[in-house]
Amino acid sequence: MASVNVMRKQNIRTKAGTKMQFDYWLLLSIAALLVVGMLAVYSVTFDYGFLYKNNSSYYFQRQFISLLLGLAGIVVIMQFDYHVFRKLSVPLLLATLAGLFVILFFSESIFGAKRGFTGGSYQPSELAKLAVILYIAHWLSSKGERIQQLTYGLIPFSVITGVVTALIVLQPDLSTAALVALVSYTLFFIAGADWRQFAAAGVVGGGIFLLLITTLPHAAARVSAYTVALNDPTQAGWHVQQALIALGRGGWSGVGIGQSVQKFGPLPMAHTDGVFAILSEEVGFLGGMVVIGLYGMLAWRGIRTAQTARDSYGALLALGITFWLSYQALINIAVITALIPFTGMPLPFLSYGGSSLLISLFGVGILLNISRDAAMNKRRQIN
Amino acid sequence: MNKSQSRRMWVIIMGLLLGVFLILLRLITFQIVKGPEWAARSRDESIVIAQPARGTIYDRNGAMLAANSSDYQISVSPNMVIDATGLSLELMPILQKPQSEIMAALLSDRPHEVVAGRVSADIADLVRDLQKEYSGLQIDPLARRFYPQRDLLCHTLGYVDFAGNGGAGLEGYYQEELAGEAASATFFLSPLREQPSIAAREGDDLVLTVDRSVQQMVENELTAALLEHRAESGTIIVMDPRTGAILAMASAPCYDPNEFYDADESLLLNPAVSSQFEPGSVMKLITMASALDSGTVTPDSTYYDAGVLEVGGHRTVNWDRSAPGTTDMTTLLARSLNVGAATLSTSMGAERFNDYFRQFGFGSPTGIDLMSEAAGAMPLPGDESWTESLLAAYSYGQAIATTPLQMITALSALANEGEIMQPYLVQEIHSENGDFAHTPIVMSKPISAEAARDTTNMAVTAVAREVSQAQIQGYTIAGKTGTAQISENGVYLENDVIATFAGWLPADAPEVIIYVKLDRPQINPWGSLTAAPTFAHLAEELVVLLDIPPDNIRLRADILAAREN
Repeated sequence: MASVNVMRKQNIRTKAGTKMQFDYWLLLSIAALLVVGMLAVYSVTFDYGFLYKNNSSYYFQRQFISLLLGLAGIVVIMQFDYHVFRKLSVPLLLATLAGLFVILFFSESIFGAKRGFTGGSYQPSELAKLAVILYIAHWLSSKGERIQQLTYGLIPFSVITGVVTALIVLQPDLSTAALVALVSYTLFFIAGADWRQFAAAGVVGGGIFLLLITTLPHAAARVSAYTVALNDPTQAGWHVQQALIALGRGGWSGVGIGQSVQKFGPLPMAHTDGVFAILSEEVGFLGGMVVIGLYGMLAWRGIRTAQTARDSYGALLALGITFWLSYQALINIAVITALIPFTGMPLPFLSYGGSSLLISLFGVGILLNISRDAAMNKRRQIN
Repeated sequence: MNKSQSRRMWVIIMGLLLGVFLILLRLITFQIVKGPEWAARSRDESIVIAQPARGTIYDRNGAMLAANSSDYQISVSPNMVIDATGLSLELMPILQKPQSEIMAALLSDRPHEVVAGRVSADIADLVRDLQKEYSGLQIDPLARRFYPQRDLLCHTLGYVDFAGNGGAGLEGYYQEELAGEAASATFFLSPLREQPSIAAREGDDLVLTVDRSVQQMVENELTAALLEHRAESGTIIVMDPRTGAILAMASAPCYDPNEFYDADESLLLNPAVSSQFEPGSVMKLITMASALDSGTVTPDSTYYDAGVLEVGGHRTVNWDRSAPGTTDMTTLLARSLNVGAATLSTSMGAERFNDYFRQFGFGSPTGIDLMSEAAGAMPLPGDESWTESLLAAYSYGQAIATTPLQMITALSALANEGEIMQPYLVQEIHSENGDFAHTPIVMSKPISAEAARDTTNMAVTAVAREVSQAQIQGYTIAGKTGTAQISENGVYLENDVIATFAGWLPADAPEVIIYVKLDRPQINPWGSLTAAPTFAHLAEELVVLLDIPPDNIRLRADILAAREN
């Protein structure tokens, strides 16, 4: 990547005959996760739905609509060359910032936090994850080796990342902010940041993070509960204990699909952050391994896509999306297994939640698009 | 990607793999190695308790006297609380608790913490407003007994403590019926399993014999009498002698059972059934009735009153130290002569006299449906505290401890052809399993109907001659005053007395009997000048409220009815 990337002046619409040449392993892993996810959502929510909405498939239906919208989004994304997002990344980021602003100042708060529009069913912070990746990939790849200079690299990078994460921290949604920052730093690092600058940024970012978790009261309480729980999980908070009980009940092969007890009350938010615990209870260690394996496959194919991408923009974008989804899955399961303090982080494709599923699918759409572009590019080179 | 970028990418991938490795270790630990241990901690059942509503208490016309309302318990689920500091600052002024205490609950490790055990609906509403802004708050209703008439009938109704137990009066006596029975069952958390069904036994409703209007009138009169005579306390009971139904039962000072916890503990007992005192001269009616029934005397008998009578080494004298000489029975009552009463009891002899008194119910509780009824005290020959002189003292109401209810119950024999009906307050019980209606119970028949009528006639004359203050227009009153000395530690006090009046009307066919007791009136000690006028006020209003026609109209109607037959 010695030269600066410039978008080719070619028709950004793809030719009809080459549309289907994307990475099938990637698609397979996503499809499998979606099937498992829909099953899990129904299994966990039929009781909630019946109790609170008088319709046991209420949540399943809502999730299914998001799934259809997501799939439609993928189809739309596949109509274009993904380089179109270079142009779109700035307006998208501005729209995200506007959304975060509006939410901070004009929306009703739910459970002490302002996170979404229309009763929390649309959350700009989910969009922020993808928008930041799109913008950072575009920005880093257009700067080339100049990102090693302070004025081209660290400073503007820190401003961009800082503004977005600050807005999310203010909601307050510390874990999403941390994820956005983490993915941004990862891209900055891979793109070729200067080691010293990167270390400095890491120290500053880490310092801010530490400051936040010690000053934000709920975060501090969770961290102190965590240090106790790490040594002796039987002293952990209610959430963690119930999650571990779910794991224990699952054993090797689980209590059977739909047969979880922990989802009927003991484990709070079983359908969102706790879905892996319920899954492990129902299909056991072996089932959990299959799911982790599917995420592994997704990550592997994502990285393959990055390696074969036509240019550094494609590579950084593919890595950004791949690491975003991987981090999120890892953090969610780490919470369930009491490895890190309790935090609300949805498990991609499995947790109930429209925004999360939709944005994840859009990300996957872009990933598929890059893989197709790589395959076409390779063939072009062979020809 | 260039080589450097590829290397850096692998650094990240290694980090991810390390994370996956750690997760695998944890999963193996919790699912396989320690799996059974954790699984053993799971609870797939929960106990559900169905709480019944406490029964309602109505007066005889269906006016509500005791019902249920709610207080609220404020609690939090600490793991749902996001802004603990903000929430604690908001709660502090509402709950009037230190912030540190609230913070401790908000940051607790347990899934559920009570922040305020019992608050009013107003405070709960303020907390409900906070729920829109803060997560983790929970508001649960708690049963609270509600007395819409406030302190009306307070001692008789009693109160219910926060644990749901009746603490006094009807609430205490009918605790089991009113409370109902909670049911509990073990439910599976999974809605997929067959669940048990539970139904609590709801509390029974009570319908009282008391009429709210009569009770209110009686309480007003009692309060007025206490003020007028500067008496410390007092009790009035109104009863139907034909059935034993209590129409009103009032004692002052009173308390508001809605706020029983603020009331002085001494006020919580019902003086009408729990306080014991020496009833004084009213007892001469019982002595006379016993003497007449036993044939010791007839209404026309006379005795010689020398102004003093020594019994068992104790000298009985008349209240005015008079020695009226040869005296008839009516004058004995009218002038309330102690020597005369003692002459009757000594003539009867201890065994016969005491038998009559036991028959009248002294020394044992009446068995009314109220909590904490006292039995009174009447030492008998053979008891350690028995002395010969008690025979004289009993006859004019000294050295014997009775409750106001015992007194009116004993006297009701004179107003009901010699039969004592057991006093009662609950007319009907409406329960899930059907209704129960009280049927009047004859407790005893200490004297004949004739002796009862004769004593009543003498009491009519006595009132007419000596206690004009108790008379009312159009009705014949039978009754007797009492001015009982108060003994403290065996010594009679100089200035403090209990002024009483017991009377029933219409004398020839009694429909109502009233007992008035005023403690330590300061303006004038005499029952005839304090309790008697109060009785007259009550009687005047009662004949209207109870629809008792004046004697002449009633008797004319009887004659007309007899003619038509």
